[in-house]
Amino acid sequence: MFFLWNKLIKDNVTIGSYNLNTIMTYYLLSGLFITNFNTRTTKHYERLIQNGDLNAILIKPSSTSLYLFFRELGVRLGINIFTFLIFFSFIVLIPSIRTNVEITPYTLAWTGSFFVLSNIFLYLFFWILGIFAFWVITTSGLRNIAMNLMNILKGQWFPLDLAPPLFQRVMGFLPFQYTMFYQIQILTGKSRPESNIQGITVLILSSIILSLFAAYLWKKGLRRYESVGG
Amino acid sequence: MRTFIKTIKIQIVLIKMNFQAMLVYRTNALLISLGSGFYNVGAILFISFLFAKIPLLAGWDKWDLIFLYGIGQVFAYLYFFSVYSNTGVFQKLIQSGNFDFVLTKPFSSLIYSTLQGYSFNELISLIQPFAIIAYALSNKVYDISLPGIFIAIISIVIALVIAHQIIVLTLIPTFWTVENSFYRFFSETASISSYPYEIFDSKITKFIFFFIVPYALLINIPFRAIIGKLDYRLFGLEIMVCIGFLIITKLLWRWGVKNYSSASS
Repeated sequence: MFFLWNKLIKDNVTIGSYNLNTIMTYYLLSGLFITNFNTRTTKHYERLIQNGDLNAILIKPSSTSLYLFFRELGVRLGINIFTFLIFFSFIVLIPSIRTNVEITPYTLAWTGSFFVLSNIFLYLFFWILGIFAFWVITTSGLRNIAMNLMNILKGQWFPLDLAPPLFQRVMGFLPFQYTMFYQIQILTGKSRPESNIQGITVLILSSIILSLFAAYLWKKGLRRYESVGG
Repeated sequence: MRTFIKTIKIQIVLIKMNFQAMLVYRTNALLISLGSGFYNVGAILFISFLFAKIPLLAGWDKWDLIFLYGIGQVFAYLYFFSVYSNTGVFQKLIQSGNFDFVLTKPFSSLIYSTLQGYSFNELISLIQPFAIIAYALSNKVYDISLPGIFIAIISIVIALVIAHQIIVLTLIPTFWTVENSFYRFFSETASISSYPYEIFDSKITKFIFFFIVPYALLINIPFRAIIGKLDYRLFGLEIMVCIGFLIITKLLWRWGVKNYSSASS
C-alpha cells in the first residue's frame, strides 16, 4: 500500500484529509487491532463440536460459555500485550508517525473503553459463527464471508472518512467501524465526544443483541449435539 | 519426455480427484465464493472512493484501474487454485518423511510436491473478475484485439509459472529448516501487482519489482496487451525473468534434494 499512497500523495498532495504521513499512520495503527479479527474463536468452537471434545467441557460444574470465554480472554490478552508493545515501539521510534498520534489520558481512556467493548462484540460475533458448526460440516465459508465483509465495514480497505457522507452515516449505526476505524480516529485526535457516546452505545446494544442470539443458537445447537465415546 | 508425459497424466488425475473432493462440500465452496465477492466489492469501493477525490493515478483513470484489478483477480484466483493451495503439501512430505516415496516415483518430484492439491473453491469464483472486467468495459471503450487477448493469456500463464517458481524458492529452505512460512510473503504482498507499475518511482524499486520480485510485470503485461498499450520489450523481459526463475529454482531444488535425508530413506 505504501507505494500506491506514495504515488497518490506525490501527484495530489492530499487525498481527503490524508497526506502520506497520516495515511501511513492510519495503516500502522490498524495493525494494533488486526489480531482481534481472528477466526480462532470460530475454529476452536468448530473443532470442539466436530471432534466431540465439547463433552469434556459440558460436564464441568460451571457455565460452558463463560469457561470458553475466559479461556479465549487469556489468549487474547497475551497476543494483544505483545502486539501493543511492538506497535508502540514503532510509534515512539518514528517521529513522523509520533506527531500524528495523541497519547493522552483522554484518548487512552476512550480507546481502552472501545477496545474492551469491541473485543466483547467480536468474541460474540465469532462465537456465533462457531455455533453454526452444530449444523454444518465446516464453517470456512461463513468465516470467509464474515472476514471479507468486515474488512470493508471496519475500515481495513480504506479510512472510512474517505467514503461518501451517506456511506459514513450508515456506517455510524453499525458496530464494525468502532472495532478499528473509530479507535484510530480517537488516537489521531479526530474523534468528537458525541460520536464517542454514539459508538459506545452502538457497541453495547450490538453486544446485547448478539449475546441473546448466541444464547438462543447455543441452546438449539446443544439439542442437536451428540458424540460417540465422548 | 516420458517423465513429462507421466507428470501431466498424474496432474490430470489429481485435478479430477480434487474436483470430486470439492463437490462433497459444494455448499461451503459457494459460501467461500460469496466471501470472495465481498473482497472484490471492497476493492471496487476503494477504487471508486479514491477516484471520487482524484482524476487520475499515474495517467490511468478509474475504469482502467477497475479493468486492471479484474485482470489481477483472474490471475489471483488461478494462483490460489493451483499454486497457493499446495504450499502446505511439500512441508508435510518433508516433516513426515514421505518425500522419500516421491523421489522414487518416475516423475518430477518438484512438480508432484508443489502441484498436488487444486482448490476448486477458487476456480468457481473466477466468474467474478470477468464480471468486473465487463463492468469496466461497459463504461469505457478500449482498443481490444484478438492478438492482444492471445498475448494476455500467454502472459497470465507465464505469470503463474513465475509465481509458482517464487513459491518453490520460498519452500526450498524446508529441506533444511523442516518448516517455514516464507511463502506467505509473496501471497500477502502480491496485491501490489494490481496497480499500474508507474507507482514504482525510484530506480531501486523498479529494479526490485521488475527483476527480483516481478510484481510490476505479472498483471500489468496482460492488461496492457489487451488494451493495446503494451511495450513488447516488457513482454520479452517477463519471458526472460520466467526462464531465469525456472533455471534458479531447478538448480536450488536439485541442491536441496541432494542434501535431503530422512530416517526412513
